[in-house]
Amino acid sequence: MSIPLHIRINENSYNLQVEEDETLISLLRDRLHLTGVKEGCGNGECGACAVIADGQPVRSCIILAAEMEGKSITTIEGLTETDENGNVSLSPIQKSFIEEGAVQCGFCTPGFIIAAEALFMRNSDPGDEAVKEALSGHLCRCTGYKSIFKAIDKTVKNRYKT
Amino acid sequence: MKYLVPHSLAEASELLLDTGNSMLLAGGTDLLVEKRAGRISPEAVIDIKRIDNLDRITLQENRLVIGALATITDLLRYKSLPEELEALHDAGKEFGCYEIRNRATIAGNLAHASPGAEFGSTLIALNAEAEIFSIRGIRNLPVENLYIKAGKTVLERGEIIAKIIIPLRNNSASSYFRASRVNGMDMAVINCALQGFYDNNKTGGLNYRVCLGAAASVPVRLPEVEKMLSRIDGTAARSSEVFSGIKSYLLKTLNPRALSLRAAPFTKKVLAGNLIEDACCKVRERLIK
Repeated sequence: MSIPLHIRINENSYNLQVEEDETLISLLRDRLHLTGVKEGCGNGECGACAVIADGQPVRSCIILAAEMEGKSITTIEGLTETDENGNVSLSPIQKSFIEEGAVQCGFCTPGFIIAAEALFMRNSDPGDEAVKEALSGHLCRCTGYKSIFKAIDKTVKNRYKT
Repeated sequence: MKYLVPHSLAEASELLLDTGNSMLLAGGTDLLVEKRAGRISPEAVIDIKRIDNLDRITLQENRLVIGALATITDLLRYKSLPEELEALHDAGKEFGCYEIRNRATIAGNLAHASPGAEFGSTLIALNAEAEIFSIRGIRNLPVENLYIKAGKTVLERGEIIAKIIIPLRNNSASSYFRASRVNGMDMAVINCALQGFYDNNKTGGLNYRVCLGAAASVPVRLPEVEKMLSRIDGTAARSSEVFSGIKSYLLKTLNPRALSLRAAPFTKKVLAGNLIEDACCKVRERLIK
């Protein structure tokens, strides 16, 4: 038996039928092919599956799709903008990640960027402590975090330069 | 698995009674992990998130009331948290990580009955009660009497923790400390919540309530340690004598299980003593400003 789900994902509305035990990550990746959402641990521990639900960052691997009735979800795919000519422009955080070399294998990157994006939504000028808190549950096994912090720091600084 | 969405506590309680192997779903940060690991396979999950007003935190005349759906983030953002309940804030800051705190509920943390749960020891030290709803009636139970063993509470089928009620106490302060292997996403190796309070007319010395998490299969209060702490009079000599007495007492009496993934029993016992000292000093600092 499946149940109806009304959900907004990256500004598009969907009326779907989901299985009772279908996780949000499975809906996003397997059905809607939003494969920027990564499944690392599948336990809510690593943060690779983070998405923004109604303004709050959450872990899509330990949420049932059905729980998201009426919610608005943003995945990493929703942070870019595409103009009428099909040119994709990255968000400031995404650009900083590239410039600072904060991406190595890239698996954890969408989770970190989502966490940072959600942080900026609630705090336009976060200090080091707020950044640490926002990223504390995200694991990166390549970069050693320094470049990730630098990228976020750079985004904050750029914001106040312009 | 069925996914059920009640719109009232009564409906949720009935669904629990009517469906054999069913479980309540709030934040899901424990339930979904256990389910995905294959440790549980409920026939039905009953998602209580669409029941109105259950997420409220309200400060009443002499108590703080936390609704079943209030998340850790709700607690941390709550502006009117009384100073004497600062242990709740300490515990919330240690809890999981930012994203987990956005989903996990305080009542769910109690109901899951993990031995090292942040809010088990904290709410016991603060002398909190759970208001337990069922279609058969409502009962209030001290959080201290909630636990049977790891993962098991005294809640019967059809019963739901609807509210957590924390009494406010004049002339008191509280704190929560934990030891863990890493900062951030880890469970406590051991945790300690402590409340210090003067009697009403502030004539005697400080009294204490102390509770440890992850020292046994359920949070444990330590009446003997509470008595020993009350002998601290603020002098360095007496304090160090009391703390070393407590540490030897814990080495003799605590009996953490040998197969803990996080630390050997001896380590836990030593850490427990250190945390009690830290928590006590913090409480005195908060109280004696």
